[in-house]
Amino acid sequence: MGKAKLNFKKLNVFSHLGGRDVVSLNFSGDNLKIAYGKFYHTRKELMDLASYKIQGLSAEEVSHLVKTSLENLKLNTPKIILVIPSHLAIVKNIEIPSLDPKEIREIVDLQAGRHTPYSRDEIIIDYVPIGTYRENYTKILLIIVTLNIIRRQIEILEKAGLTTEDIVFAPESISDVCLNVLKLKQEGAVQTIIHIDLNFSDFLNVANGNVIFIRSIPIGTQHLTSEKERYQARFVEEVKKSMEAYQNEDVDKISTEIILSGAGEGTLELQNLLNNTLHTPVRRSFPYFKKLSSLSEILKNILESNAESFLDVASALMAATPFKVNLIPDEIKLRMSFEEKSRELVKFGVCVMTIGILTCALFINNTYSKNMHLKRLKEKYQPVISAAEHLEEGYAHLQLVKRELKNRGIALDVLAEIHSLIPQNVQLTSIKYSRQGEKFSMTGDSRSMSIVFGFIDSLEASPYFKNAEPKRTTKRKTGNDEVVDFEITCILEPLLNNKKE
Amino acid sequence: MAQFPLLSFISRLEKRERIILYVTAVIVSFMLLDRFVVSQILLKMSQLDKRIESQEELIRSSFIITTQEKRILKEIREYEPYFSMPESEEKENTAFLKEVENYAKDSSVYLIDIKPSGEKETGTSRQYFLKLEFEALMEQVLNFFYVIENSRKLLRIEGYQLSPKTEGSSIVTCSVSISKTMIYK
Repeated sequence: MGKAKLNFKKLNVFSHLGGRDVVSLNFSGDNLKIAYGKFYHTRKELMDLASYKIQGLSAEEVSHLVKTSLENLKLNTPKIILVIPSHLAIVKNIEIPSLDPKEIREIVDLQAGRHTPYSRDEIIIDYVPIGTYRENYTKILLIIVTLNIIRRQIEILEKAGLTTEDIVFAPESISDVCLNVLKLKQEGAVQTIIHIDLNFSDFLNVANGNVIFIRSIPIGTQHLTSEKERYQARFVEEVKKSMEAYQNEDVDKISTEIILSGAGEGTLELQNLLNNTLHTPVRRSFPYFKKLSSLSEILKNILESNAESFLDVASALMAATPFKVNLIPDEIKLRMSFEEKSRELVKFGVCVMTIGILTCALFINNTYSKNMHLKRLKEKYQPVISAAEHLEEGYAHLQLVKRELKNRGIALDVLAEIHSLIPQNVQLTSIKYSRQGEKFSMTGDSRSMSIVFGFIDSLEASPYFKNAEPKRTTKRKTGNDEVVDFEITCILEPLLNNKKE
Repeated sequence: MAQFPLLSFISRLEKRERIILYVTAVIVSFMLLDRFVVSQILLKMSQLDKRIESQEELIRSSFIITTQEKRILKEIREYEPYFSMPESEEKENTAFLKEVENYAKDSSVYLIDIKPSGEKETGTSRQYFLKLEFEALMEQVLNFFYVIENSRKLLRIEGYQLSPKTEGSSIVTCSVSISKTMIYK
């Protein structure tokens, strides 16, 4: 097992509450390199760097190591960035006969197979547009990585319980950090960054904010320190070859400056050697040190004298501009897209639920207020309502008594009316009065029929009777005289009116 | 992919189908929300508003009634004798018979028969009925009727049949139905 070079416990992680934890990892070489940073809304901060020797370890052991190292940091669902170094990729400078990015993408997809022995399904491709050339041509830096390498590294992280959210191409992130921190963005100028690591070095030409040429040199600090004279000479040769290759490719102008970066160990001698050999000024610069504001001076010294570069993992966190190269496999892109969509869906659902709950709360509050108002009204005015109900009941009884009294006396009034209306020659033998049905009838006899009908007419004219009519009229003889027997029925109008009222 | 079957299904749909699906889902959601949540809450609130309105109306009318308190109480006092205290049916019937019998005696009518003929309950009041037969001169009959109809109790003649006892006789045979209405305090 490799040894941890940094003690994470020394870091005051909890002083940076509020930001998102981000971790970048590179385990493509003999060492596992980890950079831990915090992303805030307005800034990014590099918190720690660590390296573990993983040479000869199985995938499971690497997974376990990654898991335990991140557990020590006590991170809260960190964003995981995988860093792919240049020596694992095939990099080509090519020209595409189009200016349309969509068309360029399609052409790159079609032509990628020509630049590699692998089939299209076995590789991941992406490119960095360098600039237009000959009116309708675009120069691009084509990057090809085999799918197996990416998948294997993702699987190792998955076994450690981590989900890869981003895959960064190291030369792009290194050049971005160098361009921004070392202020290399000179309009039209081409500068060379030689990033030296433990086993490999990268020859990177940058111009107009982009990396435009990449060449991997299989010499690192390990070689430069073990057999110094031999490898220093070879290194200078490789740099020369890289410069020649760049010129042969006719990518852009010749580099005006060479910057040595990455691992610090032994680079001073190399700087002098390169300065003497090449006709281009060479300087050393370690941009990430300027960003390690939260680390102690001792730690900075350890890094400066280190034989290993952390610039690849650190720059993956600290890059100022979004990366152009995306090496995430399609299936992961799809999964991430689904996850993003489902997250959006959940967010939307939560928003809708929140709005719903707030609306319901408003309604409930409104209902509660109304209920309370109703209760208060009932309680406050109950005595008045009870008194009014009592009075109403008494008044209703009073009305009943009045109605009863109004209906009295009709029985007598009817008799008095008959007495006043009856003609002299009429004799009554029976009088029948009934409130039920408002009926009145009488039987009697008279000397003539005309008298009977006259009596009926006078009954009809009376306000007490209505619909007076002879039910029966029969003549009979008594001696020499003729007598008319009759029966008259009528309706009692006052009773009928009272009933209607 | 298997973790998100719905998303996987949606991703297989064409753009037009997806729009239709989303629009349908939104409409159905709104309908369900309206049917089971919004309309129920609004119904409840509208019922509450109506209850508050009717309560306020009741309070208003109660205040109006209480302003008339003195007048109503004065009138009730005036008609006090016509109100009764509730008693058992038997007692009330007996009292009614006795009352009519006394009036008959006072009016000098010759009582042949007197009997209760039922009762009727009408919410706030109760009515007792009786039938009686008597013989008397027409003057006495009228006097008896007058006494009944002007009684300090709520007595009333419901029906009668008058006929001379014999042809040419001045004595009248009368069959009367009388009611007494009891309005309780």
